Amino acid sequence: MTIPTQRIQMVAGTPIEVGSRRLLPSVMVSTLRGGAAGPAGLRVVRLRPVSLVVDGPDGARWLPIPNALAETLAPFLVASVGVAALSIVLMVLIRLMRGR
Amino acid sequence: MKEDMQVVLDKLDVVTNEVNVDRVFGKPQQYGDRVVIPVATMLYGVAIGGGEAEGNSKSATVCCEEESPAHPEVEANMPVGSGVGGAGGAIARPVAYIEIDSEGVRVKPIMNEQVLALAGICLGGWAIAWFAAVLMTIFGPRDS
Repeated sequence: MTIPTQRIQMVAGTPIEVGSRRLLPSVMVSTLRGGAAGPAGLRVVRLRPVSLVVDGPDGARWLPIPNALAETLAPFLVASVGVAALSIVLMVLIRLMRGR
Repeated sequence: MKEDMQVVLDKLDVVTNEVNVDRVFGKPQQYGDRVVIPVATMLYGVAIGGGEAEGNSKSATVCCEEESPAHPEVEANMPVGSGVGGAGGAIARPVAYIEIDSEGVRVKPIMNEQVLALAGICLGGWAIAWFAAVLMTIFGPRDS
């Protein structure tokens, strides 16, 4: 079993024609490969849409595709770390004040 | 057997390299004067493994007398054969949809409210636990 290797690449999708507009999607492909040299193998592929280029009568426009869930959960993560850090600081201060 | 497994993995590589983007962006759906294209993030994987035992091709009597007189029954019962196992799975999660109408093209994100509610509950529990730890430090028994 070899050490898994990761490869990340941007892939342009098949253009989508809608009326007079042409949409050019792009996707980020993360591939994890392992075990090619041994009696075992592993392939994990993650596909995440990144953006869309809209080519229409009014010119070309780039539209990002946001990961709304990740963007919403990020403040939760920051808040949880902040609560833990603040609590630890408070407990240390209380113990120090009692020690005097 | 290693060659067979490599063939399976190579075929999986071909599949992932060729059809990936078209699975992320769905087919355009017409609703009245609007066209909607669903967009999803995908995760899929497969793992396979196998093994083989050469066993002992000689007869039990000959082998045990010549090679392993200390444990003849072990050598005689050495299995011969091979086996392969594997598992795979895929997850698709909608992240947005593209809305196209006469006014233009818009990307509308989709929120998974269940995950959001679960994250909120976890954050609340986490904050309550730390708050309780601070209160225990203030009002709890002193060390000395």
